[in-house]
Amino acid sequence: MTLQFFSNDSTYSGSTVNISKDYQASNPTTNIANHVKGFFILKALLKTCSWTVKSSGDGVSTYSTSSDILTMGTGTNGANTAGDFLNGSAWFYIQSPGTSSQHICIQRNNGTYAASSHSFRIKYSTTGFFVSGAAGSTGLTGSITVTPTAISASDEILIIGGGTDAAPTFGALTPTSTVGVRTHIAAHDVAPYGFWMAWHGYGLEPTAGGGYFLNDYMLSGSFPGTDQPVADNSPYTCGLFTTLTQFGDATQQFSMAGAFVKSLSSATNDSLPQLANIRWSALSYNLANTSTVLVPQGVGINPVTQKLDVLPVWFVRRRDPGGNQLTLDQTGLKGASGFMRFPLFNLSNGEVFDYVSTRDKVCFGFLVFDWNGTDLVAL
Amino acid sequence: MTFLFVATSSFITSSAANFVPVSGAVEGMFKFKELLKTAGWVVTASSDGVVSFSTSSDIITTYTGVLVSGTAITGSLGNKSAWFVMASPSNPSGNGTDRQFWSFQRDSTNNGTNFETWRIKYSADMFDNLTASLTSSPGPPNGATVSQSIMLGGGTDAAPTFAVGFRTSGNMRWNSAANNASPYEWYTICTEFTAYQPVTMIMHDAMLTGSWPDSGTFPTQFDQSPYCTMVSYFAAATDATVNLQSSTLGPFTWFRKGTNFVAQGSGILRLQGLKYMGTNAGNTTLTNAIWPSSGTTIQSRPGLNSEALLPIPYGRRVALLGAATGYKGLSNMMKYPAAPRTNGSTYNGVMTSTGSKDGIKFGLLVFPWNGQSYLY
Repeated sequence: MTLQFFSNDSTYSGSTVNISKDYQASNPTTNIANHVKGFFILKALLKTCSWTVKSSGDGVSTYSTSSDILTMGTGTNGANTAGDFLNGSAWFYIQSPGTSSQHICIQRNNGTYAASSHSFRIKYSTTGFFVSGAAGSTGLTGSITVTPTAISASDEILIIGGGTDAAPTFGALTPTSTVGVRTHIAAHDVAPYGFWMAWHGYGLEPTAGGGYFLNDYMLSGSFPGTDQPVADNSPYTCGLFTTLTQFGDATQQFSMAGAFVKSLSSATNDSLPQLANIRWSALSYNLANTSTVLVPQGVGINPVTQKLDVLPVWFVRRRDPGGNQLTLDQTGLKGASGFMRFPLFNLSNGEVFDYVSTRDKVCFGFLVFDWNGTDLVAL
Repeated sequence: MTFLFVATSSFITSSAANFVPVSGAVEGMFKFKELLKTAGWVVTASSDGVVSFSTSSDIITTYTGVLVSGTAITGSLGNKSAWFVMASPSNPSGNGTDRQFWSFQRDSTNNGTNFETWRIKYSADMFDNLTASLTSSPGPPNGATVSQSIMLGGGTDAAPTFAVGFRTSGNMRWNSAANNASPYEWYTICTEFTAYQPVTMIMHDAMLTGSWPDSGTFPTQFDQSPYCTMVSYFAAATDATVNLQSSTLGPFTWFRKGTNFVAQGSGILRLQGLKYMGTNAGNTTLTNAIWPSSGTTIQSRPGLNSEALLPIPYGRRVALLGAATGYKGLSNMMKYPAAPRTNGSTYNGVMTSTGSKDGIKFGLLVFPWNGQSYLY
């Protein structure tokens, strides 16, 4: 497994970390391309890593049910341009290789060209979306402004945004369009074909906004012993977080979509429920429960190696008494995140550190990811 | 990996789990010794405390015949000051290179009494037989006490002191299990005879391969001793006996044993089992849902009619000592129950996916089990 930080796609060739806001060559001083650019380069990197754009639409004049028609930044600010991902309602549907494919459809806001480029609608499926067949009972392929429908309605989940494919609504990321964004993306070029994407605003601290979008995978063998009695045919989760503090904030729960042991025939377990994480903590001396968050905050650096250890992040499905009323057989443990680790010591947002090799880890918010050895470039 | 529950040796064939030792802890510990031998451990030295001792083999052949106070029996664990040293197989591949050593010694007061009083030591280095005698168990090589931990009792090997670690005869149910393959973990747990809460736990755990920072998916330096050990006793039966969170009774480990660490002179340190904490639905309130204790919201394992179990992470926090902190790894032998259950509750699918009653809850942990219903 190799994590890639460089895109060789014809639509974008270059590093996929430290991406600045001014990619749009014709409008280098504007902020219009912030999150749009991030998702566009994500597409390019995933194509470099053997993902396939199954269909796409430019929102104004063209669509394809077989290929990627999108470019970016070729037009003039304020005017729609054929094939431009900056156009309102532009979208693409991309699929990972292999037998356990991940299917993701990303659509930008349906406003005018370049406006509201921080708002999106993203869908996730482990079965896929229609790219052929008649409309109606067999589903709908995409069109110029409309994303394709899911092959199995119960298999689709909205990661951000709402509404329907025909009448979508969009969810906002931070920072908004008026604030520049620096984005970092990494993806596997072999199985399990996961990716992560993190962004933040001006400066390195998350006060200027930021977030994550990732298609995470479960570490192989991450079920200790034989906790998981059946093979999980979809050991992935997919999630988007609109702040960098959301994951580790003691006052917030984070959630990711993922099939719950998809190999089971039970319709209940075949669906894509949200997976809630559990936070690492420690018991106090007197065995009483405590709200003290030990990880990712309270375990120090290892004095022998002089390095920072990291903890695995476990995904579980809880039956929360407060609202998410699941049946007990819908609860359980899924596995450990392949991408994310908790640091055992407080780090600054964007801080890189040596784990095995030089600058091979980076911290965004309360999470640690693999890194490519470069320094993070401050905006 | 197969956990054994029956001791089969030239000395005895007997279940080592789910039984009430009529002769108290000497019977329980004798069967425990034979179980570990069955699983591949070796008695490297032993003494019956009165008649003879060996620096190469097991001369403790029985626990019987000691009920007449004051009568010494050749080769009996019931004799005062009898002791034995157990060593793990010489090449526990896959989980570090060190052999593991335990030393168990009986009270020195009288033959045939004080069965519940012991001195127990652990070392991830070795015990040196040069210092062994009829009544002195082997000490650390060159007197380097940093390499050993006295888990129960005190004093020195030449002048040992002893502490109560077990209930008296007939007042406890004894349970031992041992893995007959690397990393050769084992446990001994005694529950109170009528209330069936635990009173004694002695355990030798190992880190799940690949779960500790030094191998597999978390590679840095190789951890020379990915084990942790614990001895716990409470006079009043309580779940606290089997609890990894105590800062005073929690498990011991070499924390990144190696040249650098030894140079720091910190020796064997205590770990704690880190717990899990979750937040409430609605993303607003921290609910103190913590596993294992108050958490009740993760219960099932999809596809199996059994309850969810959670991995146990070992860590060392600043508040514990401040010297060596960080993450150690995940337990290979034990798991957290995802929901509160009574002691002796059994679980399916713990050791194999189709296993029936192959896990059991003692205190706050779930251990491998032999398929039986627990006898209360």
